[in-house]
Amino acid sequence: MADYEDWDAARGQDIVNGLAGLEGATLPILHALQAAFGCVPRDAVPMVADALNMSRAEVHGCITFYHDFRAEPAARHVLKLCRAEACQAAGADALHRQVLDELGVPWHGTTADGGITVEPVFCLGLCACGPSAMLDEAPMARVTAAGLRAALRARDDPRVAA
Amino acid sequence: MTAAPGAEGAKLVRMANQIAAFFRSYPEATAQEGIRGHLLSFWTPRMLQDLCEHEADTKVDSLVRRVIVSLRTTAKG
Amino acid sequence: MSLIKELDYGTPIRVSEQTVTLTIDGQSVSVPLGTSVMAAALHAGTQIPKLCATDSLEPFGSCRLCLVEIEGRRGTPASCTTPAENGMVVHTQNDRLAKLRRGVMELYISDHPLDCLTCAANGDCELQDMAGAVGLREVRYGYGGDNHIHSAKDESNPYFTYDASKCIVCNRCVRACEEVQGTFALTIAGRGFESRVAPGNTDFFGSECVSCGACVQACPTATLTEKTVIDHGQPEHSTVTTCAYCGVGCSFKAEMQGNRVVRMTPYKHGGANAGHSCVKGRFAYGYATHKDRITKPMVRAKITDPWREVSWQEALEHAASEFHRLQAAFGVDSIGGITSSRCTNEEAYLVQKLVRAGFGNNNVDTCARVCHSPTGYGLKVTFGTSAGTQDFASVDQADVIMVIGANPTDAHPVFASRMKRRLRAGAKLIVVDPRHIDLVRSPHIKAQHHLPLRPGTNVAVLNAMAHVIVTEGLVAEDYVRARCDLAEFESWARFAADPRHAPEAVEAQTGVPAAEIRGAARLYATGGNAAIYYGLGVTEHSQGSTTVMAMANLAMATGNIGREGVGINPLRGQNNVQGSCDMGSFPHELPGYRHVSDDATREMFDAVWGSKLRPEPGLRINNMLDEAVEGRFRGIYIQGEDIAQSDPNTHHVIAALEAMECVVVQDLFLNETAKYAHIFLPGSSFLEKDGTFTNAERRINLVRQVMPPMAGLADWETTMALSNALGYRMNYTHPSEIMDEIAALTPTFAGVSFKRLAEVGSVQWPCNDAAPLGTPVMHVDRFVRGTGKFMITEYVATEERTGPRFPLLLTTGRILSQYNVGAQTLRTENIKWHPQDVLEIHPFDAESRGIVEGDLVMLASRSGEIALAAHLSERVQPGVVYTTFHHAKSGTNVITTEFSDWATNCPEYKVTAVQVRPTNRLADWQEQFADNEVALKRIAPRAAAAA
Ligand code: SF4
Ligand code: SF4
Ligand code: SF4
Ligand code: FES
Ligand code: FES
Repeated sequence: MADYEDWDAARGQDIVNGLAGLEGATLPILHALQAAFGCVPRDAVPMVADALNMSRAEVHGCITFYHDFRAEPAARHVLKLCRAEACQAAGADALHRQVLDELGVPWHGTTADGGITVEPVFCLGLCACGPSAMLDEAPMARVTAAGLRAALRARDDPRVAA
Repeated sequence: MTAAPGAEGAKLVRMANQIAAFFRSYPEATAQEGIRGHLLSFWTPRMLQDLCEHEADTKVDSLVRRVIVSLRTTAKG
Repeated sequence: MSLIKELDYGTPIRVSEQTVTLTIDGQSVSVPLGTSVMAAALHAGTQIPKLCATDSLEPFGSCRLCLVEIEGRRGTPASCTTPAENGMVVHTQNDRLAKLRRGVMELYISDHPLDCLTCAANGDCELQDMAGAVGLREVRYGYGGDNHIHSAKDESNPYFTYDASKCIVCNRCVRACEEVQGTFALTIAGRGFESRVAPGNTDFFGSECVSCGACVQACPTATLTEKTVIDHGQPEHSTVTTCAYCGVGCSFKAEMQGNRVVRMTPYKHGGANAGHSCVKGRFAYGYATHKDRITKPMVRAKITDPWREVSWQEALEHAASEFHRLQAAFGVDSIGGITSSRCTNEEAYLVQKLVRAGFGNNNVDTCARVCHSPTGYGLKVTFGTSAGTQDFASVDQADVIMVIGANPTDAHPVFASRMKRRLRAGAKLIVVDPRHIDLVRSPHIKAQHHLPLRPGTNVAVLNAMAHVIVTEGLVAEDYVRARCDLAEFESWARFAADPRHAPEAVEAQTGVPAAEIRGAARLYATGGNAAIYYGLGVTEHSQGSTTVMAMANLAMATGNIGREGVGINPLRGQNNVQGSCDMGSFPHELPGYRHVSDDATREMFDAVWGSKLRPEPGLRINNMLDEAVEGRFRGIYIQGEDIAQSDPNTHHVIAALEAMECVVVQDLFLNETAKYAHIFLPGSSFLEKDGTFTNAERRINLVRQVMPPMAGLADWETTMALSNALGYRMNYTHPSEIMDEIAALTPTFAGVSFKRLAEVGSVQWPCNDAAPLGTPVMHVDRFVRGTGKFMITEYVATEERTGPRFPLLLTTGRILSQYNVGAQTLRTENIKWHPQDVLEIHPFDAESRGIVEGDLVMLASRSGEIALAAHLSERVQPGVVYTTFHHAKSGTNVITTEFSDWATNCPEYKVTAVQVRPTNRLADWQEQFADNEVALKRIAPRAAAAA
């Protein structure tokens, strides 16, 4: 996992100014911010809006439209659970409730120890073998609660994670 | 700016001078006509009379003074 | 009475010379080219089910409910996004379509609470209507899966609620905020199932939302709903009337339950607003029934006495006998009256009639004195008419828009939305303003040139533009030759060409880089249709009238007068400031701007009024006040105007009021002026009377009574009763009779009657036999005065100068949520957006004075001093500070001076030399104010009054 800088307004403004001149600058700016800070910090939104002469709401819409952008830095691990139709039909809803309960977080939430962030996604292209999920970069098919638990444990094991 | 006696007269002088300042860029005859017409259109007879009483006031713009003279003549005539 | 329902065509009404003819469900229909199949179907009488379409917005095509079949085309296209074409054969109803539509509805309903019976939108919900229209009978999906039914509500906006559980994500609100309002405060956050409407990453109150309500109006469900509707339920009848706030003059449906307003909905057929509104007009009407309303006439002998409630008869007879006494003792000219720019045309007309015919003098004036009197003067001299040249719709044809000394997004929001739409479509923008107003740069708007001039140098900047136009050969010579007085033009051109007016020569004085002035001048002269819009930042200066004439010069020199898309357009402050001026509220002019010295006009009025009108002008407000201090002016009748708060140099105004023996105030509230009054006559709000208002585009709109006057009399009835008590007979049974009299006496109004207005909605004067439906654009073939008259506009700097003691320049303005002296808006929830007036100061000036954000600072001028909180802002330039005057207790006009426009005495509110220093106490005036709030507003208890 990369180390991120702490939010710094002057640094944020530099990033924004540096890219504002590009054609279609919104996504490059958001990516650059996220690369620097691990997320698109709340305070950066007005800067982006101002630089691109957009409203803050529009920038917010853009950030939330792309699942890659985050409002807070993600935990060490990101678990993406598919909520789209095929996985639903394979019983994803019940599974998700159970997983969220066990971790004690809502969607987009991060566990108290800062270990895992859970994100919804809509289709991972594994529809034939749902419910599907993705832990960090690794896709998982036919997910069960027990299987997930094991995967998460393995991830947190420094020997495995390294 | 409270009511010192005569303060209102001084205000009329200032107003008249302001009007003169606008018309000053015109040739003398047009300027006089402009000022005169303006005063007659917008000032009450009482205000005109008060202004005329200030003719000797050194604060009165010379252009205004010349208009006052002509106003007097019309009033008499 | 019934509820007015406007037809929703689903997609905007298109205008085109060409028509297309198609067949819909077997019926042939012809519509303008560009019309959607959906709208065409409605023309043919068929309503196609729809959810995401509404005719205030461009079609979006997301809900798929409006599917139709078109012969020869595959599939089932959305009728909202499909343009009608010649020869099309469309089917809107068959089994296949019905099944598809039912399927769509089923999906919507499966994620929607089924609490229709207890829902605030019950009876006014398009989702409900559509479920009925498509015959939805069962929902197979159930609530087992994920849904949004327990989403939280956002109730942060004082006027409406966002209940996400009811949202069908049709996007209408987001599009309304973009297309109609132009604020872009909403977005769809997230995607797929997660997508929700969001005002950014915050709640509504904390967002960029300006609370115009367009999204609420566009929402087809109960998701965005007025809190009044949630509290009281759906209205049962409605009446079309006109907003009583600003000079835009928006038309509204007052939607009622009995005598209670449940909701104000902008009226689609409103000539000025076409279905849009701002936060004031739509939501801030609660003042009308506020507990502070005074509903009983009151009198007192001295201003320090408590008020005593009396009968109408006693109050009116007392006023009449006092006025008689004063005239007997001090002369006919010792009293006068002030008409209100807040009241109707009919009411303003009656007050000036009462003064001229009843008092027998011409001592009548109006609050336009302090705002747009230079407009009347300047445009009359140059063009021949004391009014703006265009209708609002004209801006849609403008290629270059120059905004001078106006802040439309705050002060004229509905027109600003229209202007911004045109700017987003590509028109160029020049802003001349000392402040960095929103138009300079805000989402999707950017001025090509911002000229941040020093306050007070408008004329110098405009003369420099004229210099560029003349010396660079940009004059529209054919136009000038054909339309203007050539001799005047030539002397003006010589004047303008003088090197002392070159942008480079005035750069130091105005603070505007010469290149910017040159760029702006070239753009204005060569960019196509160029239109000037201006406000009080032009008029409220000692060169106010000169500036108006300088703008007129520019427009004539470049041929920008007399057609759509161009013109000189004052943005009028108060709802009826144009009307009150039209109605003869100035001391030198009878209705229709005819000078009192004109014998023929006077004779005509004398014949109808049974009067003997005086041929000399009467006193202006400031002259009345001056003469009061001198002891010559003793009594005044003030209808709906608060001179003690709104007029400059409060100390002087109060000294004058205190010197008078009979001050009669007619108002809704015990306002600042009423503290110095002896007789109080309770006024009526715009909801309580019939009449007309005339907006900034000369448009006469009907005001219609929706509830009885709270005090028993409407303002026109009160003036009539006062006149009768004075012995000058007036006898009208309805305001329409007053308008008939106005029409009979005023050529520009000859064609106006309540009947005509009710038939056609509104007309723009001149309205007469030559123009029975009014005149949207003036000076088309010739100027009203014949030829256009160029005026030489020498720049004469104000006598108000900065110096070591007062090194900063104060300029004043207003903000969106508040209106003028705040008497109305501060008595509504709008106060949440502006709890206090603050002083904007540049961080540079703040730092050198040791001031940080939020500090209490003392603002001092030659007139007085007041304390208020500092707000550090780069909207103002260094050397300039800015504040608003909405709260009486801030006392902004304690600071402003008596300097005024040379021609009209319009006060110089926009330039005052000041100093700012940190303080820890209120100013003496403000302490005194707090005491007077109690001492001068006491009302004796009823029992004591009766005793
Ligand atoms: S109230 Fe107006 S500004 Fe606010 S979100 Fe709705 S449309 Fe936009
Ligand atoms: S809030 Fe209303 S208008 Fe906006 S998307 Fe939801 S249902 Fe549609
Ligand atoms: S823009 Fe003016 S007239 Fe229209 S609703 Fe707002 S305050 Fe009323
Ligand atoms: S639906 Fe879950 S992976 Fe496609
Ligand atoms: S109304 Fe046409 S797609 Fe929604």
